Amino acid sequence: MGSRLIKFWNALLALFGLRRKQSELDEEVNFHLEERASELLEQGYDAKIARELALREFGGIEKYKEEAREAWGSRFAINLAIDIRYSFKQYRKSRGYAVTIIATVAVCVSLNTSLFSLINSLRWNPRIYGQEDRIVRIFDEFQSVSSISRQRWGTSFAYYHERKEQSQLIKEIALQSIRTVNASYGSDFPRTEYAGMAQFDPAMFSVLKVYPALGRAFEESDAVRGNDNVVILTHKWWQTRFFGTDDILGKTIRADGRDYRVIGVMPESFSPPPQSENLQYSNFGMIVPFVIPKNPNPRQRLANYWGSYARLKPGVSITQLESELNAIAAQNGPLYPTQYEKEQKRGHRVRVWSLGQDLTRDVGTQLSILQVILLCILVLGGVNIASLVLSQNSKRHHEIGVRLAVGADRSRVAGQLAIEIWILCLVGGFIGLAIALFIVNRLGAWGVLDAFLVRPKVSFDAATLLIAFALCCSIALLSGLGSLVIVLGKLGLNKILKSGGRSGSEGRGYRSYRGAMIFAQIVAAFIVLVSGGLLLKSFSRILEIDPGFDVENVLTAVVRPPDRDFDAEAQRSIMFRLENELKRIPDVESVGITNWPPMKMNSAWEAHLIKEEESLDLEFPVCTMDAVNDTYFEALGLEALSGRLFNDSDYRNSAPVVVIDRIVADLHFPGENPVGKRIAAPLTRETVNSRSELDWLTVIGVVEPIRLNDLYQQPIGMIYRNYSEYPLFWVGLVIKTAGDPYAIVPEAERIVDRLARNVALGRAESLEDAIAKRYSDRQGLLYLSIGIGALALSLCILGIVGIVSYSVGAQVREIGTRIALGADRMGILWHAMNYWVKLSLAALVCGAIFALGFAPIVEGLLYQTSPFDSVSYLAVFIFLCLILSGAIFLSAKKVTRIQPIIALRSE
Amino acid sequence: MELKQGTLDMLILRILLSGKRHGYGIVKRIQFLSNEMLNVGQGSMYPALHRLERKGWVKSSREETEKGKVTKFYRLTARGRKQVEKEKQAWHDFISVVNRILEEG
Repeated sequence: MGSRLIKFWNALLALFGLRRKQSELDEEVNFHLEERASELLEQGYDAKIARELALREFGGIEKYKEEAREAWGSRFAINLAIDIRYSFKQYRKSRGYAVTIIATVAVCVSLNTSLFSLINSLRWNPRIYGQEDRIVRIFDEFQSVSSISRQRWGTSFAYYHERKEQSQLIKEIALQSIRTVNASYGSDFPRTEYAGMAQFDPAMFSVLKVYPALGRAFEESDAVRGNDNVVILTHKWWQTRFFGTDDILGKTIRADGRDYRVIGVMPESFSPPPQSENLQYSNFGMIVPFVIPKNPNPRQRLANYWGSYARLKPGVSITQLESELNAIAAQNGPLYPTQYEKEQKRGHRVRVWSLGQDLTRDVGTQLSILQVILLCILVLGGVNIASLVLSQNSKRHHEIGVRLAVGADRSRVAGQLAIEIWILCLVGGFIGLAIALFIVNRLGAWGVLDAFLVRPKVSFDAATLLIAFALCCSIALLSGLGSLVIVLGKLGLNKILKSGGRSGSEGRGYRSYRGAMIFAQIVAAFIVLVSGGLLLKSFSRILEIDPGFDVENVLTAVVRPPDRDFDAEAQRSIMFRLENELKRIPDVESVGITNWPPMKMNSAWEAHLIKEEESLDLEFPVCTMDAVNDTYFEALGLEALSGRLFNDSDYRNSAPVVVIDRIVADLHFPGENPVGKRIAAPLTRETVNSRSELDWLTVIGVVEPIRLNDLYQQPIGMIYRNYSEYPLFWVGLVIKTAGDPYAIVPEAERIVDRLARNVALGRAESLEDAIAKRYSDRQGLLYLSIGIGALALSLCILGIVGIVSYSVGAQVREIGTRIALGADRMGILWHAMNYWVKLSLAALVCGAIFALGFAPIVEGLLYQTSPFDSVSYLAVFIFLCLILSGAIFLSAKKVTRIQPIIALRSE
Repeated sequence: MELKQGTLDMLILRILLSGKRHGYGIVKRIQFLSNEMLNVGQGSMYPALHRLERKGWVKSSREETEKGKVTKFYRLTARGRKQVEKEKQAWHDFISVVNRILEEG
């Protein structure tokens, strides 16, 4: 150890005096050679011969110099220092080369590193809560239930209690629920707004390990009915609604008519757990205690409406917990035979997700695809650098040859060339890292993080730095190969001295190496372009989707009078008055009332549709159901296909009526006119016991289907009930205006305020904006893929032009000779292009195969577009064929202009 | 005649005992004393000199030659003088052992 330290110290000392020592060594060697040469001169030799003889007698200068340097200290450190100095000399000579390599590495490293750190933060280290690796989300999935219901993944009170009592692997478990309320604040509550509210089980704080920054968290005593009138505010609400005042604790907020006392404020960085996705859209401001019934009704056993999070005990894996919870469910199920039968039928299964899985569930595929695409860019960048390095080094054949001739060791020359690239890659890597740091810090400001359910704290960690370093290494390794091929390859010294800058034709080894590079580039470009093409096609399909209703100049909003203050009758009366007053606003053409305003709620009622003559033992198909007023259809531009729509005479009519859409009509009344037929539409299958219990509805008309919440999903059929005979949960407004829909918002807000105290108009937005929000993520991904595709294509073109031009340039002498011997110029052109054209074709085929392999990953993002869409593949194939052959032709064309005499003189 | 492995250092030290010299001067002196019988790789003189300097047996300084050129001159240090004696003794011992074997073997 001691001797190593001394060696290291010597090396350091040596480094400091290195420059002086090096010049003194040069000086004394020169002195030696001059002395010897002058002696030989005196003996009668010619000056040139005397110098040559002196050199020969001395032996390999470089070798002895290096041996001398070795005597100064550590050989490695000394050589490194010398190589670094030499490299900087080289960069000064060819600045453009150095800058291009640094810039390419910086672009590749910055893009890849910033995306990696984003994915890394989301999946493994969001740093929103404490000890996140042990936080899991638990939900009960019913696999055999229709798709919409399955999306309501959560758990029920009964399951929660069983897990809390029986699980050995859970440290703590908690429930949460989300709702929207009319919140009023300030003295005498002058302002009311529509806001999101979370209900937290007191254990939620210790599960997430996040506690209020001000005041206290909920205690068990708060989650008891009567004591639960306490609230914790979000930091944003404290700052914006209460101006960040210190005396916030103890103030009162009124939510849906109930008063809550503020007992705490959450920290600024707090985001609600990802399951609370609706909070994202709903002005989330408050958390209140969740009063969980101690003995829930067994009939509600399957009501999986509540979000459940848990903290694992140390050392417990997610799989272990999943199997334990499934075992608990299987053990307890038979105690409730009726529910157990349903559980079995609906395919009940307990699922456990890690926090990272939960955070990225909607965007995981997008992120993975981006990462693959960026890796393709890395390959393209690396290949371009490699080609540049190769061209640069081949210009230096002569220099390298001389260095070898005067005794420099091959490995030393190779090492020096490698260090030249390493330095550039490292500098590029550092710049790339700095850019990535900038990008990562700006992600929030650019709104990129808004696409995620919670805002992770994206930052660099050891893994990110390691990745950046690995990227630099891989680029350097890939491009450094070219240099090593030159120096360590089979090319002999003579060959190096003879060929290269002065040369005839390039070696076979070179061509294969260049060929491999071009091949990799084309394959990578193909994959990137095909993905971009598929996304483009899918996006154009989405743009073509007809939602089934008019979207122009339509305002949607929600008003929700709380049940507590407004009984059914009061609600109904507010609704009628609201409708009438809104109609009076100038510019308003029609006012639609609905429970499920389009593109707003993410769900709708699901009802079983029963025809009058059908047996009640059947499993009835499910369709969606809404309750609307007569002008709802008019506001959305829907007309009756047959029969009629609602009118004034249907209000409180003794005979309930219903309007169905074409899908329901085709499915249930194929080939017959449904108007006048009677159907029933119970919300749950369980309530269907006898015909007399069912409400029978007469079909009065048929309308075109609409896509209510999702443009991508085929509607499953909708039945519309009249809102006057069916209770609404809230009032959804669909207002058709003559001009800008936002212009009527202030007046609409005033009307709501006048009609009902402490009730607000919520989530007012135009239908166009609501739809745009639904596919903004796809749009973003599309732009990104197009941008990356363009980058990939330009890198690929640059690469191929560079390589083909170089290769033609290297064959000038050979071509000149051929022309001098009378070869046909077109034949020569073909000869120059032949290899590259064949190679490109092979690479395109290979690219297509790789892209096909990659396709299943993209599949999840495509709408009505097959990942194996032949048109996209063919288009990219032809496009690349044209671009590549154009590039090859333009680069190779100069062979036809070669003048034999000039070419031969270029020797 | 090729120089035996490891003897160059000893020869350099011995030559420097008579005064400072530059690298080329040492080469010339070896060739002169050996009647040009010993073939010293001229280039190998410099790694050897730098090695001896690092061991502290010789020290160098840049000085002018008679012809007015500047180069590095090497001279022995006190430790170098002692080393010459040690090397000489070791060499004689070695020679006598080898001789004995050659004559009596």
